[in-house]
Amino acid sequence: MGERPNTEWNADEAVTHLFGAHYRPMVRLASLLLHERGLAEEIVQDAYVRLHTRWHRLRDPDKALAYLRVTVVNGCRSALRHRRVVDAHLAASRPPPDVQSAEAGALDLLTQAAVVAALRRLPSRQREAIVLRYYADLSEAQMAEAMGVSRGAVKSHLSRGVAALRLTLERL
Amino acid sequence: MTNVDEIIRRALDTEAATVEVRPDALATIRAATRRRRTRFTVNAWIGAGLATATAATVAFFVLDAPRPAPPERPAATRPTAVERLLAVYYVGPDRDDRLVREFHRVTPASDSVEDQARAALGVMFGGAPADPDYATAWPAGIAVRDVTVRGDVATVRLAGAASLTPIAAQQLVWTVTAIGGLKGVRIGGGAALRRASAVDTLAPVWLINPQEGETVGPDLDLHIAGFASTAHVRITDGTGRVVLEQDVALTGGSPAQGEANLGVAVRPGRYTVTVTAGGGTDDHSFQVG
Repeated sequence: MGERPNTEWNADEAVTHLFGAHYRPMVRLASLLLHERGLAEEIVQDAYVRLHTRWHRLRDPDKALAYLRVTVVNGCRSALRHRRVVDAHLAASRPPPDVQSAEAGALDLLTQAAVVAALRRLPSRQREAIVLRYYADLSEAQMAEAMGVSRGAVKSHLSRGVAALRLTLERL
Repeated sequence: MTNVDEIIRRALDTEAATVEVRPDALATIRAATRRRRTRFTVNAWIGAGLATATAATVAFFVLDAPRPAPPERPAATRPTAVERLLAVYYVGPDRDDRLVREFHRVTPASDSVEDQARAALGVMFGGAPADPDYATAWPAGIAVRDVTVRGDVATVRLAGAASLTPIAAQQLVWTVTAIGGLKGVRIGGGAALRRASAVDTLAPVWLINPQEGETVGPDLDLHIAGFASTAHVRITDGTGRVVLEQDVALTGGSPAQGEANLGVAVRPGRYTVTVTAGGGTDDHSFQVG
């Protein structure tokens, strides 16, 4: 299977290859966007099932990867919209985390926890921009494609998101 | 790159590294694509208006089709009890101060985080690992009295608790925090604990898929995790004959585990796969059939 040009993969082969190469990073990306791992994995699995259906039109691993990203980002955004009302109620009643480290590097953990908590408070588009830039390491053009917005909008969402996170870090 | 850029990048990488994927993910995707294909076939036959497609023929396809996919609801908000695949950590396989992970199918009383934690700990304290090379770091006779969750910290109260070794505490912490949304664990009235660093806690290498004793299809998906750049893989059949031996690159890695997926077509039978990396070894026996 591995020797054949990837444009000749059938849909099953394409899913298998793309699963091995990108499944775990996709689940992690979705988890950063959603903060709900079970649902994140369901959304990514659904994206692969959709990719299987669409492979005959894509026929290219790069296009397929871009398609997966768009489907996952859209799926997460849609799930967040459904969850927003419940989350707003929970956030109001949830105390700040009270966690001590069992290991060295407690300050790093505190910083990490603060960044992740601040990320969750960002508007969806800013959170998407931050995760796609800093975790997925995408270019502006790739981010624009994944988010379905212009490159100018990407710049705007990213700079606002970074400014909010910087503010959080300055308060530590 | 500014300091803020670096802090954000590191925070996201560290957070993402705590996210594990289910061992049966590819099988789940394949089952869903097969269901779609079956539905498409049935629809195409009916849509074509085949005059010879009798009611009996259509009924055969419908009855033969796999059960439909579950409704697309967030897993954490399902109100009723459903079977879940929960991660349970043990020590092993060749040392008692490093953790390994197994996934166990259990049905928590509900889909709440508390009930999932109770179910996972019930397996950890009350069940045996599927792999005989694994063991629990806890003494016998421990039972879970209560699990409560406040924010992202679970408090676990135990009955019959003995003195707590660091690896036993981490076994419990890694098992509980494998459940979505939980970051820390308070054991009894103690301080809340987080996961210690993976490289200092987890075994050098482990087999994620197939699991010990599992029956799998002929298109085997080996899934390996370890703290090394490569892992050596060897598959032997029931007679001890080597059917595959090769090195695979583990991608990702420091400070998290690197992982590799390897597709192998094998005939029905009994097999043992052994992986070696970073000075550690893990092996699982499984059935292809």
